[in-house]
Amino acid sequence: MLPSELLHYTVRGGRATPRFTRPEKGLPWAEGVLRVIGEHLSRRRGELEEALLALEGDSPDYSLVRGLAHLALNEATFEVRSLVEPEFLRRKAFTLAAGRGYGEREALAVLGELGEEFKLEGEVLRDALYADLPENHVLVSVPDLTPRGLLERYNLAQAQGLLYYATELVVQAHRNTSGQYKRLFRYLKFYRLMWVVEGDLDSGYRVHVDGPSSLFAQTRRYGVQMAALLPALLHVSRWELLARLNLHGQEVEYALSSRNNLVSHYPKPPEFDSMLEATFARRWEKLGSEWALEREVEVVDLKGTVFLPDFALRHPGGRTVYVEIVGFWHPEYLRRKFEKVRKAGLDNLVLAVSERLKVSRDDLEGILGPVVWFKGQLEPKAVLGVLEEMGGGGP
Amino acid sequence: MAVLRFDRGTLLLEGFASLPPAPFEFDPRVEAYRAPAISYPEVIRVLRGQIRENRAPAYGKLELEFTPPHALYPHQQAALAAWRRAGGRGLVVLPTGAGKSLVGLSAVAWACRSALVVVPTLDLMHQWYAHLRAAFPGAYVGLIGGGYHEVTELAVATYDSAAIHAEKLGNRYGTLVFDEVHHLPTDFYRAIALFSLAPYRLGLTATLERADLRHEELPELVGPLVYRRHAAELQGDVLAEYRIERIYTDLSLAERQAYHQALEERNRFLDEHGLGLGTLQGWQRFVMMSARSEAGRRAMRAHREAGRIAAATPGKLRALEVILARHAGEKILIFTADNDTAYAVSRAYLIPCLTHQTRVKERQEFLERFRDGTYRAIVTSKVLNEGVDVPDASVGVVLSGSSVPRELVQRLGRILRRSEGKRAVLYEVIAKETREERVSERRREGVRLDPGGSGSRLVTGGSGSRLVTGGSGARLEFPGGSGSRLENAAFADQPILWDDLGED
Repeated sequence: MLPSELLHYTVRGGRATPRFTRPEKGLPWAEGVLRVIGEHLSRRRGELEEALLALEGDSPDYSLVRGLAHLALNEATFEVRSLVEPEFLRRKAFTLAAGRGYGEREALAVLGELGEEFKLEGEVLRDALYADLPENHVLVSVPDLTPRGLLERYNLAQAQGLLYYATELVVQAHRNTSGQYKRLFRYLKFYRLMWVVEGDLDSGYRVHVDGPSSLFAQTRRYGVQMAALLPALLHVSRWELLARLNLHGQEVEYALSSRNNLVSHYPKPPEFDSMLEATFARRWEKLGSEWALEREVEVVDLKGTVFLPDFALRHPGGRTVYVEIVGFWHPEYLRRKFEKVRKAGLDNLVLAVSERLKVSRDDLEGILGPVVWFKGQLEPKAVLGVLEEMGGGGP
Repeated sequence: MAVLRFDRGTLLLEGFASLPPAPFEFDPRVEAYRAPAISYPEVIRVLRGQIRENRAPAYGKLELEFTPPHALYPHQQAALAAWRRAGGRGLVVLPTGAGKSLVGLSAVAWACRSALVVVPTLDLMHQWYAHLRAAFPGAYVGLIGGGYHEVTELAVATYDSAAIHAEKLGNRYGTLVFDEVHHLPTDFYRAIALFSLAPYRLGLTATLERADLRHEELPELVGPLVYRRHAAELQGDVLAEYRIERIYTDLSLAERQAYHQALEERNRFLDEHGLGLGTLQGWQRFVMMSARSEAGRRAMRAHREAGRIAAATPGKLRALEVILARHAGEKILIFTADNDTAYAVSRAYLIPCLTHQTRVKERQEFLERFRDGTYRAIVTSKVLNEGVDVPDASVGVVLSGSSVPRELVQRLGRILRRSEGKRAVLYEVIAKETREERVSERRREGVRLDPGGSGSRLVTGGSGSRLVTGGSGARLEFPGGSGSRLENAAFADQPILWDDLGED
């Protein structure tokens, strides 16, 4: 992410729009920034920063150059290099100078005395005094980024930056797989945000996002968390986002969507949460049943948490049955999972529970749908059997 | 029956049979009632007897053995008494050097609750750490910030860390002490106070008023102004006498040419675009216009270059050398506006340099060695502006600075600690015929520190105050007398007698 002074946006008619940089303008600068950084391997950070300033020159694009440099330098490494340990040298020099009295000539005498001790020139020692200052650190590894990759990060950081000012966020997500939704809600929880979910599978879900204290007053307290959420949202296949911003006292709206073609640098979520799920899905396909296995599922808002079944089984006759596989879990997780299933109150949910888990019938008290027990792998046929018991695929 | 919980800076009331009273509001996101954490004392009052379980506070009674470093001075006793009378909530304003920390320590001891001291800098963090360890032997003192995260019953946190972790810290402390409390009212830091249950809150500062007037939020966040004393009322008791000397240096011919060339370059741009720098709006327009073209970028660079020439003229280093020689053997603090100049001074004279980049251990070492006389000078950009104890310094040198009056008050406060027979002197080194002359004027307008003879007195750092000179001394008053903004209801000084210690 970028510091706010490097953000660019326009505000018109109550709407804020980040100013994205097109490749024809951004790529030459990105290439220049990476080249300058590359040329400064084993050189001082201060020199590198001066060279970056020289690169921007008097160009009105200076902010773009600084933003690119900021993001690129986040991926570089610097190190202290000095013949004498700087803090040790400072202690010696400052103590001697204080004893001698402060003045230009006295300082020269002190450096001369220390020079004899370390077998170094006095002026070399003067430079070594502050070898540990960031500006004197030495560049030891350059960022592993292409100009295009750097520009993508820059544009994403611009889009994120406006969210620092967000007081609330509405995400409209259309028909996504369970894994994608799960990732989204996991990030919402991770960033300690709160939400309300509306909508249904066919028209998509609207997720209103803010934080605990948003109830009492509009606050930008959660803006940085919302900004950090954006790269995760990019992995959800189809979405629109509408944020309300408090931009320097002015209330404005901010819209983004999957059509903005932003690129995430967060790792892609795995297609399946576990091997159990992956195997079940693969074997279901081979079964050749009329029931189609789909990963786009219903989101059940449980007020403070959500329940997202692993799969949906859809019959051409119109029925949908959900499947939730409970495999290898920690006891506390298990307790919460059953609590969730109970609260979700779905009667068209098949709960598949591994016999390896220490689960008793009492634990399943109050769960509406049927339960399938399995050893090792979950057999698709066992689930199919239950579907038939439930009355098949008709409406 | 209902249960009260703390949830990320708020209070959640679950299972309440009827509609709970304000400040609770229904939260449809979790289908329960929610109130801001800061309203906890009020909530407990209105819900008394109606909740089965109060799971909100995670703080406890803190049994502390209190060994203050010395008996409280009358003004410290009076400040504490006033704070206690206000129910253990409120702001105490005392000048730098008047012993605010001891008021804070006494408040922590009196409240007997898990306590968090919030400070703006790492130096202050380590200073409070030392104070707390000395005053409460046997208690473990935790640090939150500066690479530490120890959420213990008695801890010191930086404003940054306390704000970042406000959602988690909010129920851990029953007492909050805000040092340099004027930092609190910003959008980010406010959360420390808002998200906390703490019934006991104390704000300490020497400079309460903020230019943006947001200090007016402090009564809501911390409590009312309960006690205020100006330096004039304490001088001689606690603070040293001082005088100010201004030293003018000439730019060299080459510097003068470069300075004027830079200004001409900038002024050409200003003229072409009809801009003036006399007002804040004029300056903002210049900033905006300068970003849009190469000519503008050049003009802004010229403007900065002119400032740099004036701030870093070798003439100033020569003036400094004269001062260093004149006060050989005395303890000297040198202030600069920027890090580069501070490091240049350090390299030239081998004087220890304190900036934000100096690591905590070395800072402590510098200050200790300055205290015990191993080092006789320290050069610093901004870190010593606020709050850190630097005892015994008797000479201050302002090589360059901003036009903010608060900064001058704070810098002066660094050298004003009283010791036997001490006479402090503050030098302002100003490049002649440059804009530094105006900057120096402007920062003194807020404080009006005219060199009123050998006995002039610094009085306060309030915005809009003025100096009244008379005879050998000078006195500072607020404009408008009794009708001034400072004396509205929320900020009125309560009439407190020096000997009235109050009873709990």
